[in-house]
Amino acid sequence: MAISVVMPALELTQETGKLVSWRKKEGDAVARGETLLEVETDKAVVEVEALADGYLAGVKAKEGDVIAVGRTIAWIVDKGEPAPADEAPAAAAAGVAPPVARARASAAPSGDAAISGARMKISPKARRLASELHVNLDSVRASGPGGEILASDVEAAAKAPAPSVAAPSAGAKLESLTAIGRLMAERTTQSWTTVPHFFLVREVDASALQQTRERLTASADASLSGKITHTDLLIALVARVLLQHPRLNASWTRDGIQLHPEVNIAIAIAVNDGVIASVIPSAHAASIAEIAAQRRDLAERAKSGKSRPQDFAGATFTISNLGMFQIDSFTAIIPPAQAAILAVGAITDRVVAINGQPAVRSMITLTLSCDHRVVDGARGAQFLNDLAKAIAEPRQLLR
Amino acid sequence: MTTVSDPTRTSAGVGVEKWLRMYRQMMAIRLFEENVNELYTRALMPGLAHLYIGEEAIAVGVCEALRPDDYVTSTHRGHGHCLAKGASPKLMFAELLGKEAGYCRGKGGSMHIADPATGNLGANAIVAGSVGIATGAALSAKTLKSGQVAVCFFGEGALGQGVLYECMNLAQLWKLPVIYVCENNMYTEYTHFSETTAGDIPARASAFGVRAETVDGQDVRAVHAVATDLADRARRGEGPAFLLCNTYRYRGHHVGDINREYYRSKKEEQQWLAESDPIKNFAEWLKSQKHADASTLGTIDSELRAEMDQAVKFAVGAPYPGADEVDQDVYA
Amino acid sequence: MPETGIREITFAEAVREALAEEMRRDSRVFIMGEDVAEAGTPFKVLSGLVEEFGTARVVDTPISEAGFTGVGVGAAMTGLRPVVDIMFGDFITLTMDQMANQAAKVHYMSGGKWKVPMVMRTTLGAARRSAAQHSQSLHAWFSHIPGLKVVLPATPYDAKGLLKSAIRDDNPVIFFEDKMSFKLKGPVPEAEYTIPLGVADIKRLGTDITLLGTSSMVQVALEAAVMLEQAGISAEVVDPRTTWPLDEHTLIESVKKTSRAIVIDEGYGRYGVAAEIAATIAEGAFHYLDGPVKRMGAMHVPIPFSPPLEDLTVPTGKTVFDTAMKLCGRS
Repeated sequence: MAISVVMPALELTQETGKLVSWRKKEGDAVARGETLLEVETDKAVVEVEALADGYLAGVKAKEGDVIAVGRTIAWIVDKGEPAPADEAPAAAAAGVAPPVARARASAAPSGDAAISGARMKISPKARRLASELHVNLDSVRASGPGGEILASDVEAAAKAPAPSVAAPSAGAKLESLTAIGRLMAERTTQSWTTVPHFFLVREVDASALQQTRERLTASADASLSGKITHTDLLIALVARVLLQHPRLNASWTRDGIQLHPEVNIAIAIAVNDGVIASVIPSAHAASIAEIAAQRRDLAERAKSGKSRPQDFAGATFTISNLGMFQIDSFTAIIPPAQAAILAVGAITDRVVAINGQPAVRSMITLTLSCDHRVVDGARGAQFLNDLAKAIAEPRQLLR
Repeated sequence: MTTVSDPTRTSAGVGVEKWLRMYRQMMAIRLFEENVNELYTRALMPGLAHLYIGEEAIAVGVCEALRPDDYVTSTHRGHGHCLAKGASPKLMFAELLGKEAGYCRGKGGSMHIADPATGNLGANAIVAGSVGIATGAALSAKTLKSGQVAVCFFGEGALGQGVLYECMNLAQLWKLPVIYVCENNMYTEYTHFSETTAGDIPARASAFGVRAETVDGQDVRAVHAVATDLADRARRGEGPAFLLCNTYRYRGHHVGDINREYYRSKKEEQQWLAESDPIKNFAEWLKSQKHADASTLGTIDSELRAEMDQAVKFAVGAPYPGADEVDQDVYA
Repeated sequence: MPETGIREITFAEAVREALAEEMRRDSRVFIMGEDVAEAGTPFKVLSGLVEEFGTARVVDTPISEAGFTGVGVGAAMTGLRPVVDIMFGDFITLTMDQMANQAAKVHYMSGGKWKVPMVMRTTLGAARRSAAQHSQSLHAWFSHIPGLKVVLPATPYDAKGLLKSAIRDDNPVIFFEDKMSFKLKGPVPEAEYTIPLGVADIKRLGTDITLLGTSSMVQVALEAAVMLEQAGISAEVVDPRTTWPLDEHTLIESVKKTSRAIVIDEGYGRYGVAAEIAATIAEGAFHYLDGPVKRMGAMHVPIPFSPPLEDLTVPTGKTVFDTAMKLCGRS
């Protein structure tokens, strides 16, 4: 029975993947779990494993090809069995994607991943000019008789002064973009130019958080043999608080706001080429020990370029922590298809007023970026308020 | 104006050599068509095949009355006309099989053999489709004073088409050297002609003042005699003629028309085969007149069989046209 | 026209000159049709030809369009170069087997051995209060058939140069003359010239919108262009002059320049020449279009007799102007 190998869909907004290399070639025997190919996605080069024992056949994609997710690129067949000619039925193809991603994919409206400009009326000429002149169509005023963007609108937008980009100097060196670098640029631009961001800032006393971390790290529990970080604790707390605030664990779609039943927390991890977001699925249900272990594995794989497809699958909320770089506070750009991101600064001792008296406390500044289409100020504030309470008394939620 | 040809005219001025040539031509058509039947049933021939078997005396009797540069137009049942006017069986078979070596580079097929070298303006798969063309060729002949005659072969089914009468009217008005040869093989596809044809057939032509003749289409000598008269007359500028040849289609409308009893009886077919086979009857006559003996005719037959075998071999082995041929010759 | 050797003559005179010149040049050329000789056709386009060339070369026929068209095909195959005259374009229906199954196919079916160098002259166009059987523009029918060429002259200059090329062409060519254009005057050189088939003509230069007009609709497009100019819109008027061969390059390049196009053809707008040209533009200039390609043709009704009704069925300068304004976002 032939099983299709498809370009995996690794995250909500991914449209294509680039085939970096085949680890097996046509006719090779493959064992279930063996690495079959490497794929470059938005975030990293990932290894894709074989789903079944058999022989690789009907290879349709070559190294360097950029392929739509879900497209069959090869088959694993029994010995002597010919590769089927047609695409596998959708259910069989989806079998390659990790379960979380599959659930997301079936729940997401088909237009969710539509590129910028797909929903607006725009003339063919204007579309071509926008591409040639690097004009973002979201920012173009439409003057057509039916409300469509015309060529003249794009030309006008192109002539408008660029906000801050200085012309490169004559001797400037052009650094070519890696896939991760290019996609980081595209995704942040897309989000920043299409998602109405607003920001809420809150200083929180992190003393209890620190104490909890120390206590857990010192614990004799063998399962907690590794180090517990502040991030681990924050992941657990944020995930549990998010259960009470579904609008913060949601996606904006054309048809409405999609509320996600699972809380999959992505953590931004700095790698050579930029930043990637590895996912801890169902973090609301995971123990702190599980979260810590997963976070460590994710970080190791990310930094060594060995991330697996499921490492990026299905994030619903992101935490970005720059505390280790001694950043007090910052604002983050919301990843596409999420409603918010939490930017976490360094824990530092600050003088604060306690009962009218100055006192020194370990403080942390949290900055929540929200998509105003999904979350309004009050909702965001309530979430941040509940999170602050959880950080002040972590035991309530972590037991 | 309607006359029935007088069989006593049939021998005038025709020598033994010509008689034997007519025999050879008729037998060539018969053997060609039998090969077509075989090629078709062996699935080597694409498309349709409408066999002329039984009607050979008409094509041969008429074409032997013509000059090589005289024009003919033919029909979907046209192999006999093409061969009688001088086409090569080799190139015809190649065309029938859709090969590049064929008369039309494989783009015409069985129903569209055309060959300027033998004055063949083309077989035509629209019933009465070539009446205008033949009349136009006669107009050219008259205008250019070339002395050529145009012969338009068609079956009795074409009697239902108005363009035939438009053209006969024009031809008579302009005294054009054209002969309309109507082969009444009695069946318009699967329908007896009496069900589709009102009144008297030659009278339709004589109503325009066109000279009309009726002849036994199974008698090559009779056909040849009257065709010679009409061609000479046309060449002299005396105008068009209509020649009704009564004949019989021995086979079906096309090769695949096997079970024919719903429109004609086996008895009727057998009677025609037994009594009116144009080749058999002509061979008997040749022998009775001591123009040929059985061995002379047998030699002709075996020569022709060898020629047809070779022609079929050539056509079967010939290459198909290349893909680049498909859009060639759409425009001159 | 101040230039030497150029005078103003009518469309009808241009057609007559082309025929006379070609008949003098080539004795194989002759004309055949209903009332072509002494009558010179009901439109008097051929007046005088029979006096010069005689009834053997300007031949009156019975009312037998299928018959004499078929005779034309056969004569063309065998050494003559007939010009077959079909009085009204509506009557081409009677010649369809001769043209579509015979003339168009002979060269191809014979593997290139026989040729059909004939011309069919006929008319198109409404607005003569002639009702549904004498007013149609059926050139799309022939344009659909491979093996035929179709010419749609719009001016006296084009009519003469294109008809001479059509007569010299070795293929069946159908030459449609707009009945309402016979009296149209325009500059025509006295010296010999021909216009190749398959070359479009830019009748007016512009930058904002391309009006692609054929035959009778070229004048309509030019009229609309003048109105548009007063509204500040610069319209380019392009005339393909032949629907086959079709000068796709010139049409597409014009629309690439202007980004907007209206195709105006007097045939029925549906499934017709306008639709085909619009599709050609949409395929060739898609990424240059700033709006949909519009088709304007005869209304999808039999042409009515009553003048106020008939006038509704055919595009006019005003309706083209209105469509162009709307397409330019100016309505």
